[in-house]
Amino acid sequence: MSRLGEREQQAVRDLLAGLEHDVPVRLVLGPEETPVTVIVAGRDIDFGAETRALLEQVTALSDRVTLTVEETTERGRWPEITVGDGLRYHGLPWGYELSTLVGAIVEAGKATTTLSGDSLTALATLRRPVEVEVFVTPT
Amino acid sequence: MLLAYRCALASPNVTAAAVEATEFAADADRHGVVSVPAIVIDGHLRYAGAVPEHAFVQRLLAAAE
Repeated sequence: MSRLGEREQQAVRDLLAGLEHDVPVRLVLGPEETPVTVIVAGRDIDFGAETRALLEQVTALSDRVTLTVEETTERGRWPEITVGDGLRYHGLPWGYELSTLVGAIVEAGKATTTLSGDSLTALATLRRPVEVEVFVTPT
Repeated sequence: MLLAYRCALASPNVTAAAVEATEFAADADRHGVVSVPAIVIDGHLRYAGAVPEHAFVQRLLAAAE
């Protein structure tokens, strides 16, 4: 279901070709706190298995990207993907959200930020930790 | 979403996570998410919709005050 076609693979391969340094990707799988049932094409989606298969496919498209997979028995917001030092994605990055996953890898693999000087100056005034969560959907 | 990731990479004080709202519907409901992208800062829903970089950073700073 989440598998990439040849054209998608080539598009991702082209994006990842621009990585300027190595990017580790870590996937943690485990039981969800509040499991949901989503039926696609007549079958119940196994989010963990689908995420693992998708990440194996994406990370194989660049020598600079490595994947490690861990499993836990604790309940939580799994699957959890961590790109680089701490860019996180909770869930299966399917549909349009594939671009979020690939975008995270591309951003983590850049040598310099693409934020403006004004934004960097403003962010430097932050005096305490801030946690940003962005709720997204695949459509 | 990528703006949040860029801010997290640029500032040690910012952490950023995407949350798939279909899969984590209970979380989305708890925060009152009705449209996406919905931006939750420190556990509070701040706004929904895409905004330019300048506005995103200013809203982040305002939420941190």
